[in-house]
Parts: sequence; C-alpha cells; structure tokens
Amino acid sequence: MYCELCKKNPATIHYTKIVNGHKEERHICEQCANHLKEPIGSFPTLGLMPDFSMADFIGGFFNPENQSQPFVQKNMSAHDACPVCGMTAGEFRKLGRVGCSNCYDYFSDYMPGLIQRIHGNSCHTGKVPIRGEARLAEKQRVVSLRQELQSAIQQEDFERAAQLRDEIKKLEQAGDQNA
Amino acid sequence: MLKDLIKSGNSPWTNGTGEDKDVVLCTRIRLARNFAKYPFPLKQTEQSGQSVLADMSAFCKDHSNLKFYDLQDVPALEKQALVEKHLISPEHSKDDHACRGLAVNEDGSISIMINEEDHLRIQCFAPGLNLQELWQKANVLDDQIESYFDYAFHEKLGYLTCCPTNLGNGMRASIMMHLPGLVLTKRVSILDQLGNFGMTVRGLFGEGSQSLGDLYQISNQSTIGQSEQDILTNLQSVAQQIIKEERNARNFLKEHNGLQLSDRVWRAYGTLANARSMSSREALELISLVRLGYSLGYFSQLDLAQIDQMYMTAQPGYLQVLHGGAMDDVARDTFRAEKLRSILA
Repeated sequence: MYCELCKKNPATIHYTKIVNGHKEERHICEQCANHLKEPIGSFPTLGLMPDFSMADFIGGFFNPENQSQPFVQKNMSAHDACPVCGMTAGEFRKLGRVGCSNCYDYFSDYMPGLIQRIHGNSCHTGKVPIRGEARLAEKQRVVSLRQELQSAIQQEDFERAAQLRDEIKKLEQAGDQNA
Repeated sequence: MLKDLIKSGNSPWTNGTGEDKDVVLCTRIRLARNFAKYPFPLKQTEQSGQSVLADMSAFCKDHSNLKFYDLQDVPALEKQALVEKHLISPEHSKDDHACRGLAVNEDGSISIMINEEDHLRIQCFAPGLNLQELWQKANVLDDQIESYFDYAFHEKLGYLTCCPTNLGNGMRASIMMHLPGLVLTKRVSILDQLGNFGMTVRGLFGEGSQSLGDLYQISNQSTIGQSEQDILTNLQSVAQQIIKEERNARNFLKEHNGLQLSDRVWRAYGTLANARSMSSREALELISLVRLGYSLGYFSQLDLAQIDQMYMTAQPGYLQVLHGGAMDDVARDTFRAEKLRSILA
C-alpha cells in the first residue's frame, strides 16, 4: 500500500481519525507524517503540544498554583517595576529573565528559592573580576568602618567617631566616582 | 575579512587537528558577561544598545586581532553561514534591529556575540579536546575586556546574566563529539546518564535522541557553586570515558562485523564521491560513515581535514555563500553534490 498523500513511499503509518463522530482511516508514510502536524498513534495529542520553552519553565516557578510550598515570600503586584530598567514583576514571571543588574536586588525575594531550584547551590565560588575584587574589598572596608563608628558613638569617643565618619565619606565618594 | 572567514571551509572544528580528533571535533568555552552600566539587551534602549556596540568597537580597535561587525550590515545568507559555523547563535542571526554585533578573529577561534541575550557572549573554540588551554585563552580575553569596562557582578550570585540559569561563572564548556560507534551499537543511551554528573547532551544537528551525522554536544549544566576549574575537570573526565566507550564500540564493530561495516563505509564513500544531487541530511549521514571508516584505517588516500570540511559543505547557508547567492532546493542539492565530489576527487 502506498502513502495516500505523496503516493510514492510505502505507507508505514496507519491510524483512524474520529472527528465529531466521523470516522476516517488514514495510511501515510513517515515523511508525510512529519509534515502533517496531526495527532498520530498512541499519543493522540502530541501534535498539539507547544514547543518547550525554558522561559515558561522558569516562569512556572512563580505561579503559586504550581507550588505545594510557594517560595515567593513577598507579595508583589504584577505592576511593581524595577526602578532602573522598568521590568515588572509580571514580565519577570512570564519571561523568566531579568532586565538589568538591579533586578537581582529588586526581585531578590523571588530569587533565592529560584536559584536554588535551578542550581542547587546558590553561592558563586568561581572567578571574580579584578576590578570587582577591589570594589568588593572597599565595600567590606566601609561595612567594618561603620561597625567601628557605631561602637565609638556608644563609647562616646566622638573624636574617633568624627575621624571614622570622614574616612567612610571619603571611601564612599571614591566609590561613586569609580562606579 | 568576514566574507573570507565565512567562505573558508577551514574552521577550528573542521581543520582535522587536535587531541582525540578521531572522536572530538572541537571544544568551545562560552562566557556570558554584562556591562554594569547598561540594562541587559532584553530591556535596552536603542541608545544603550548602540553604546554597547560602540564600546566593543572601541575595544576591537585596540585589539587588532579582533574585528568588529554590526550585524545589521551583514546579509542574511552570510549570517546563516555564521550560525552553521557556530560563530553566532540562531537567535543572534535575527533581523530585528536589536543592535546585534559580532567581534571575531581571523581564523574564527574567537567570536564575541554582542547584544545577544547578554551584552557579551565570549566564545573560544579549539580543535579536538582542549579544555585547559581554551579556558586560559577565554580567561585572558575576559580579563582584557574587563580592564576596559566594569562587569555586572554580585558577590554571592557571581556574574549577573539576563537568564538566572547562567548566573555564577556564566561559563558553558561544550565538547562536540562524533559518536557513530555508540549509535551503531545502540549504546548511545549511556549519554542519558550524563545528567547525573551535571552534564547535558544534545544533537549538534537535528532534534531528538538520534542526532544527524552522529554528532553530539556535551556541556556543563550548572554555572554556580563550582569553580570553572572544577567544572572543566569534571567535563574532561566524562569526555574521556565517552571517548573510551566510543573507541571500544568502533573496534568491536570492526572485529565482529568487519564485512558489513566496511561495505557500508565504502558505499557511503562511493555515494559522496559520485552522486549528482544530495540533500543536507543524506550528506551528514554519509560523512559520518566515512569519518568512522577513516578512524578505523579504511582510507589511506584521505585526511581528516578533508572529511570534516565536508560537514561545512553539507550546510545550506555556507553552500549558498560559496555560490554567491540564494539557490532553490534542487540547485542547492546539485551544487552540494558537486562540491562534495570535488573534495574527494
């Protein structure tokens, strides 16, 4: 038996199609079956399945209906938008992608669970940018100076506190200029 | 220069050299990076997109090994050939006025996609299995770019990328392998196990479990929580296991089914050397058999570079660029057969 579509190749796929009670038998070859996006064989709805999209897959994590234990801690309205790039929570949920570096801060309540689900371990241990490393050290220095400032104030050592305040100011200004 | 690069049948994955070349065509390391001062391409404005292009164009002026191209100026067929050569992604070949750019070196062993999903996708290619040297190369280039521009980086999340799946080191290392032995001995299912080792596998051409031309790409899955070096060491040892299994399968076939195998291999050679019309699909299948035969010593008159250049010739975009313009299916299949014959002549 030849394929009823191309009439060239032998028919290797035989199936019955029932639409609204109307029964139709079809005999086609594999090549034609590939072109024909019709449901075939034991998976009658396979042809209707949309292409897999990683973005949808990630976006699905944010749909509370999909979660036995929703991990979004903060309720965000779909219109809440990142102040830097304008990406909204709704868009982020849909695309599974972010619009700028700041999104990782702005949507941070979404992130830890998400990153754990994707990567397992959510802390970077690889390469650090050379310039980034210097900035990181500066940031950490500011943090420790602030702690020192607090304790100086508590101990009412105002001379030391003033020194620390000036040093912090200088570091922060330098940081702004480099940024 | 871009046209010469596109027209050349010689690319890092088809020049016939490199470690474990009988099984591994080429190794690639890709780094995803973004500039700190602009929104990611997904949210960029025409102005910020152009700024990224201008920044990278300036960088290329200072690094004469790299040439910068605005992809808007590159014809569609040439972009298709760039995709086939793995220098850009299919996504990056779109004509969507998204300020897409490319920086590439003379032999195509370095290619930086600009304004793809991330501002930069730095790609380095090397023939054969060569993860360590390639990482050194990518790492140095990454440092050079970073000495010009601040990257978006977070101390816990690592390099910030548009898609959270690339966070961390932003590195994807891939090994393109030719595995006809595993396919013919029906053992290619061992690749399904690689997920347990944090690796993913996909066919290089075509979809589904059986890849056209028996070409598979094996890559690391996770980019966070492991250093680059750990990932590469892991990938290297997995690749070596696969290479060993593939060679075992090939030798088994030769020893126990020598007649059937040599018959299939020589028929494939005969068809490639004589056919007057050939589809891309058929070409990929036949080239695979000839490559297998070569590795088992059936062909003394051929070399691996010739065989691997046939992979390029199988590609429709590359073929049309060689021809100098668009062709219909019939013309393309005829021209492909002619080119394949001339390679084997």
